[in-house]
Amino acid sequence: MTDKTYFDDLVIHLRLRRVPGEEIGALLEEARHHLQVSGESPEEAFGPVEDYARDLAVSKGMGDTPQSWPRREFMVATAHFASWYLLMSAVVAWALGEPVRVTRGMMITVLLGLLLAAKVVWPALVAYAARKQGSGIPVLAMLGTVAIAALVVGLGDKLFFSFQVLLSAPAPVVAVGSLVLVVASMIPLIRRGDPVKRPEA
Amino acid sequence: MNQRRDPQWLRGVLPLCILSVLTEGEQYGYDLSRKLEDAGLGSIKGGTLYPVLGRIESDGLVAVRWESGAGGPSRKYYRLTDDGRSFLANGGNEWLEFNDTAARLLRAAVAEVGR
Repeated sequence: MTDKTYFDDLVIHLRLRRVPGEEIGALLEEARHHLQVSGESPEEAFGPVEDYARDLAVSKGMGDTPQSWPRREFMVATAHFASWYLLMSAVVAWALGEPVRVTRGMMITVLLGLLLAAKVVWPALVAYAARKQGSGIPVLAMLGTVAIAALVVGLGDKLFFSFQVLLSAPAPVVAVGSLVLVVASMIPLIRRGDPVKRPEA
Repeated sequence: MNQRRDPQWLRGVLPLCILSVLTEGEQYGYDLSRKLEDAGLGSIKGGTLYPVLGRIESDGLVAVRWESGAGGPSRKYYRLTDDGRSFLANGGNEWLEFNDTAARLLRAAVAEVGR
């Protein structure tokens, strides 16, 4: 494992334990300095990356159990996907001069899709990223969630043969409301929160 | 010192040992590990040292400052705070008393089984 791979993995494991970005920056800087003066490899100096991340997180007052998946990012991605889906449905219904209808089959597939994404896709993506890649957890997880949710929502009625309409609303109202939701749910995706920063000497 | 010593022994006393070394003045992490090794505690790896330093920093027993490195990573220096000195004085005495008690017990037992 190269120094870069070790440190990339360390960042992921510290993030999963909710260590703030500023603290992570300081921990990385100190670790890099240690390697520079000792001539050791990261594994020699600090041991297995997950164990080291756990010990550092506990020393900073964080819990010793990592999140198996980043809940906040999942919620943001889900809200973003749901608002896009609603907007597309509303635009199509508006063009056809129909109201937006939510069927039981759609509801079932959305709930199953969310369950699958939360319990299977996201933990798998996070585990993959922690072992193989240094960055991109939110993007990978979001894409995975969107792909699965799009698939199941698109096939929802047909999968469950359940076309019973649960909700019906005027398309223009839903279009405007969902457009607001699309914009609002983009804000957390665009805004850079809690970056890893080098300490100032 | 025996390098096969139980690591749990060191874990309990390492914060006090670090604070003891810091009575000599401010140090950075690797320097501390060398001085602890020179004192006979054996090799203290970064994976053991830095979490302890993080804890005593969070507890306010040490203060830190960063010094930029010449083209490399910055150094983080640790120095004792007043709270750290009090902790060292109180905790050090408690540890010495405990150590004396354990040593008395062990000496008697080791002598007994060694006969």
